[in-house]
Amino acid sequence: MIIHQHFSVSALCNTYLVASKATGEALLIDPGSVELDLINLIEANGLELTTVLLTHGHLAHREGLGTLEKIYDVSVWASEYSRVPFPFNAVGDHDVLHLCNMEIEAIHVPGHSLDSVVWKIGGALFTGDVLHSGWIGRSGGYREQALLLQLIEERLFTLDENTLLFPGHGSPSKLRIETLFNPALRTRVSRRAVP
Amino acid sequence: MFSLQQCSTDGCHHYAYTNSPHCYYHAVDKERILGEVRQLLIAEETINDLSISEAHLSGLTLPATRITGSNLAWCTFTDVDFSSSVMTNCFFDFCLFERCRFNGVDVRYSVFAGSRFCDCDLSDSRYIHSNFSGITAHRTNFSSCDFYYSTFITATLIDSSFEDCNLKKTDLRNTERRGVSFRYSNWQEAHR
Repeated sequence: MIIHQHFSVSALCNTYLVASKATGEALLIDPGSVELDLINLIEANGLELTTVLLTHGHLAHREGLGTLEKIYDVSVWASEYSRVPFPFNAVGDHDVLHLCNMEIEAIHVPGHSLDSVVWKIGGALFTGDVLHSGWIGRSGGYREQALLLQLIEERLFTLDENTLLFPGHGSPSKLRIETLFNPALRTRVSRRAVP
Repeated sequence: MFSLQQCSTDGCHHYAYTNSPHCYYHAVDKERILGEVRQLLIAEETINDLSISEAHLSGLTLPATRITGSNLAWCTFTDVDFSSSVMTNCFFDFCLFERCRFNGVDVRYSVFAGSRFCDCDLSDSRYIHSNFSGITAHRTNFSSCDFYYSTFITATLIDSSFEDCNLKKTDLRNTERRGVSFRYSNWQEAHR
């Protein structure tokens, strides 16, 4: 698997270009904006972009989609609860997709937004605004925040502690790092044994 | 990106060494692997997808190496000079760095969380979108660096210098600081 990051200066969000080493088929996660750097990243690496995955429907994470669809013929995948104003393929919790020669699992983690999906590709999680390095997604109220914390604990922290995290904003991380150092989670997520 | 295949030893959570079923710690031919990695680091200008954990590397000078998509978590680096290297998507979490130099490096989307830096020099460099959460730094020079969008959450910083740094969107919440200077840095633009 190949993973490239692109930081969208206008939307201040991370866009991830994930590709199969074997076939060169690629997908984009959260095209916040489509800039020349991103196009160069796809073309310079000789990748064939076929798919877009959205972690949620907030504008900052999908604003570049219109431009992208003028350049590439892509299929868009998002949560079944998504209300984005364009056609997309809906996925439910724990649906497994086989796209771009990769196995992709959708993990529904509402709280930041109803349609938040964490995409699990191999040993990597693309968390959007659910879980960042050092903080969790902002919610509309304390009930949503409690739900988000509960679901992060139940659906993400049951995965292997060395799972890589690629959030929608900020730096990459691992589940173990967030268990130990994320102030929003330290009081809830029980620390696991050191290998 | 390095292979996300885990070590085949029961109970081991480390990622396997490149093209091997075991991690470095559980490999039978540790000396050969260490020699290979040492040679790679001092001779190659581009390193992609390397994965080695818990190795001890000392007395190396990297030739302005471009390291991408690599995992060197839980390693110990003593007297290693990374100066002028370019690192993207590299994982150095829970490492120990003793007397290491990172002058003029360009680091993006990389992870140093949980690591310990003793008598290191990281000055005159870019560390953008990088994760320093939970690090412990003793007598380490971080001056004249760009830490845009990097995180130092719950870091312990002792007798270290962050002078003339760009701290815009740098996350310094819950840090413990003793004898740390932020002179000429845009401290007000950091999250703290």
